[in-house]
Amino acid sequence: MIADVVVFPGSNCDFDTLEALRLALPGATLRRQWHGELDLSRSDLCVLPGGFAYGDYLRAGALAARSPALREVRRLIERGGLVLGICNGFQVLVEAGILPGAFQTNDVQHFLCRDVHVRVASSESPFLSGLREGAVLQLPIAHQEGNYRVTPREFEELSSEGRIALQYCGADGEIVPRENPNGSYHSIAGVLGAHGRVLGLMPHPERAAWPEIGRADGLEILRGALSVVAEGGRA
Amino acid sequence: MPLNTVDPTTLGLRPSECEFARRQAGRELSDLEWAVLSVLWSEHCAYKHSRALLSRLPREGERVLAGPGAGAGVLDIGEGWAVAAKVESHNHPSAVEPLQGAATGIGGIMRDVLSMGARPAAFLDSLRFGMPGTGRTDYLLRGVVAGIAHYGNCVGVPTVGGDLYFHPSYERNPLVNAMCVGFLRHEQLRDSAASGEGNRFLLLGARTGRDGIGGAAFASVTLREDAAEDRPRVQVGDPFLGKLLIEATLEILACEPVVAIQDLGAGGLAGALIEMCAKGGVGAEVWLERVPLRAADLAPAEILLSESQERMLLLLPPASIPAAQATAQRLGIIAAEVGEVRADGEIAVTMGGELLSRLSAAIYAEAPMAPLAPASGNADAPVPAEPQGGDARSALLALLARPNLSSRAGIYGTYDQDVGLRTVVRPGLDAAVLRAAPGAPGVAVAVDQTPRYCERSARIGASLAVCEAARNVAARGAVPIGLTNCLNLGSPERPEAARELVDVVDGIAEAANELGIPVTGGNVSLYNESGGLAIVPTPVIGMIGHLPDPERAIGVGSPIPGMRVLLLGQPADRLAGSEFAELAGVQPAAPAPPDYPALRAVLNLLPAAGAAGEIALAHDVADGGLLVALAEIVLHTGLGVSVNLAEATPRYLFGEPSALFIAVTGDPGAVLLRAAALGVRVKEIGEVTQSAQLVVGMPTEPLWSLERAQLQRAVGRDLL
Repeated sequence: MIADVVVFPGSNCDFDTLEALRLALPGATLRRQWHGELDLSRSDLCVLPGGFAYGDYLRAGALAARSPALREVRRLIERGGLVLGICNGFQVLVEAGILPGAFQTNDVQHFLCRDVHVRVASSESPFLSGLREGAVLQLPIAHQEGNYRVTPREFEELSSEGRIALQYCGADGEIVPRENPNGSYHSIAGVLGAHGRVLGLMPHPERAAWPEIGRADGLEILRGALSVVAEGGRA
Repeated sequence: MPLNTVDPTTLGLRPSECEFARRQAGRELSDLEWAVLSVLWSEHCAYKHSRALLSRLPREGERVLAGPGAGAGVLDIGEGWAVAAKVESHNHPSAVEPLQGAATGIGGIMRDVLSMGARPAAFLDSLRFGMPGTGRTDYLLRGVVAGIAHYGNCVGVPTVGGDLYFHPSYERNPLVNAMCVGFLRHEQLRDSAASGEGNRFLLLGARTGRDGIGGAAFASVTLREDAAEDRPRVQVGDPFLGKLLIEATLEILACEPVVAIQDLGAGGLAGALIEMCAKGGVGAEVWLERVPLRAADLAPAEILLSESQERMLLLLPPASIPAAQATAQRLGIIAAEVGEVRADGEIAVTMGGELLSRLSAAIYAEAPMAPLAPASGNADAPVPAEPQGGDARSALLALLARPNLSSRAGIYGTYDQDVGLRTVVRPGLDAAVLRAAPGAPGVAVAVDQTPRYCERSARIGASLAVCEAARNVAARGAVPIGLTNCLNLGSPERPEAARELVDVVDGIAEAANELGIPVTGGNVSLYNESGGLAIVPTPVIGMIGHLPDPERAIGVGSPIPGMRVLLLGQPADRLAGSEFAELAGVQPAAPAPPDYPALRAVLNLLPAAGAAGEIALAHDVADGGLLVALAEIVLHTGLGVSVNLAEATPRYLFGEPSALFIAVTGDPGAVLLRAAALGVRVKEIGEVTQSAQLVVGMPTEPLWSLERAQLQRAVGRDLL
């Protein structure tokens, strides 16, 4: 299995993501690829990591979404490869139109870093296949523009297609406004692309891949890619 | 060569300094030379009033790999790893333009750590403002916090600690001290001393613009009444470029035979280049026409002195320059060859082949020392009568709501605390814990200073700051192995402030010697006064505590109901200097000097008991005293604490001792044995409970309790 982490100028969770993938995908070939030289032709999994690609100037993810690297990412998706966008990577996928919706500044109007609980709303994705629907994970967030917006109509579509991946919730799994850290529409923390092979999420699973310090709920998401390879690779 | 047309005293140089420079040079200096000299000989760059004093600080230690004089102190933490750390002020810029002032303070200290060959791994910030609730203080606080978040979050370095105090003396002169901690392998350690005739200087990073011209000189005078007029002297930070600069610098250091490296800070290109040359006993030829500019019309002195941010200066053999430039280009950053080493010790500045100046690097680098004329020491203020206790429960709630004790959680929540995967224990209680990498050794880190203590005795306050910082890292089970400091004071030309400068140095030296902690460097910020109001002496201490196994530090796990609560160390014997005394309206008095024997004993106990897994949580008793510390444990853990206290006197409940911890243990027997062996006074006072409340029993008083939600309401004041 080959997993690639794409580095844009300003990405700052690329090393972290590689480190966590090393733990989550034992035996996989891991590559850190500079966006300008991106080659995903042999890739099974591509991760767009967190950070501030191009300084998030203009809008979060907006400049990176127009980078030639995204052509490679689209080709991988067309071939049935897996794509994971974490935080800024999620913003890039949305700006690129690969995932629906748009981001606004958090409703509290500033950057937020803390642990949140998220509820698995769909397991129709390799990334979530190790988790049951309704499972509650504790994951850290760290973002300023995480207020995810879709239209009511888009929300209905996403829901009916099982593409709402994760929703902010309380420790007990209850989805209520007070447990929504950033004002996201219907507490959405992560969404899936068609066929579940693209996942964008605001929380950082790579920061919760560390059982030795009591933060391990992100490991299962990172391990998800293994399920596809075990089934015989790409669709 | 161009002749002299300016009067150098108009640039801030004293007549005696001008005479000294002329004598050293054996001639009159040119305008360009005076301009450079006035910056390099400013207090900010040259430490004219403090350098001799600072030699009183102990700097030897078996773990010290680089000490004062280096870009940052570097300490060995085992298994081939080292930690680099330094704290520096950015006070004047933050007073004028809080967001950019704080952002560039963060960027500046980050490059100091980078210049040692270390990867920046964490920031801590020590902030001081006038009392909250005034429009100006709130504006400054919000701006500074936003600036720290703006730069730190984007550059990908977590903010893991700090302290924040309000005191009227900071009204006009807020303080922003930033600390950066970085990790490196021993073989990655770099130095700034230039050497090797013909080696080339590579200027990496931002284009040079007109921003921050004379920033060092600006920092070396008192703020003017119309300080806003100085806004153009404040630099502008670009964290995106800062991130590119980190990666490009580290990659070039890893791949090319870099001879020396230095960050560009105060004094810009001239400051960095001349310091590198003076340190290596060599000179340089500088090619100004090759410096990439943001505006074409910069004068030579402006190119030399601009404090444009996000720049590093690397020295490489000529053959390695193309590869280094290719790396920079691939990563999207500019790298220009701007000069070469000369063996003769002269700094020759040229532009398009024309020689503009030639002067010995040693002349620039050796500013004459300024004499200090300290006032004679004051007798410590008498200890006032103790206020009466009254209702301990109400007093506790009132204390928790004080601006200096209320929650900082809202501020930390705006900083990325986790990026980099090194944060094992996040900020909140005492000290954060960092690992160099998963599975590697690490450190506990804290910055501390309590203005209240320094207000009445600069010396005792300074030594208490060292003690508190040591306690904070010890609360995570770490052994304090080195400290960095930032001394913030008023004008050294005033005898009272000169006295305070001497006192804070002596206080730090005393505590560092008593506790066996070397001082690995620091920064001095003088002239923090305006309109006749000087700040309280503010010696900020940044402490590094060593943790061979940070993933098992005290506080990584959570306490469990039923665990016992112990008091370790010496309870307070007076209220002088305490927040409670201030709340009670008692005339402020000097706090008790540190109890070093008691503190040494407990500093020995905690790392041993922590490594043995005997302590689930420890918290030092500091601001507000014992009841406040107990309440903070309830707030932090979400569990309850039920205690029976030996005394009900205000000094016991609210005094602020120098050597007292609360420890939560599942194995009180083991801790008691250790305490007996090490001579630590220990007392079991209660237990951890499931129900989230603080329950307190005291002699002759009815039992009382406070729910966690009530405590939360008291501390929960939103400072932003």
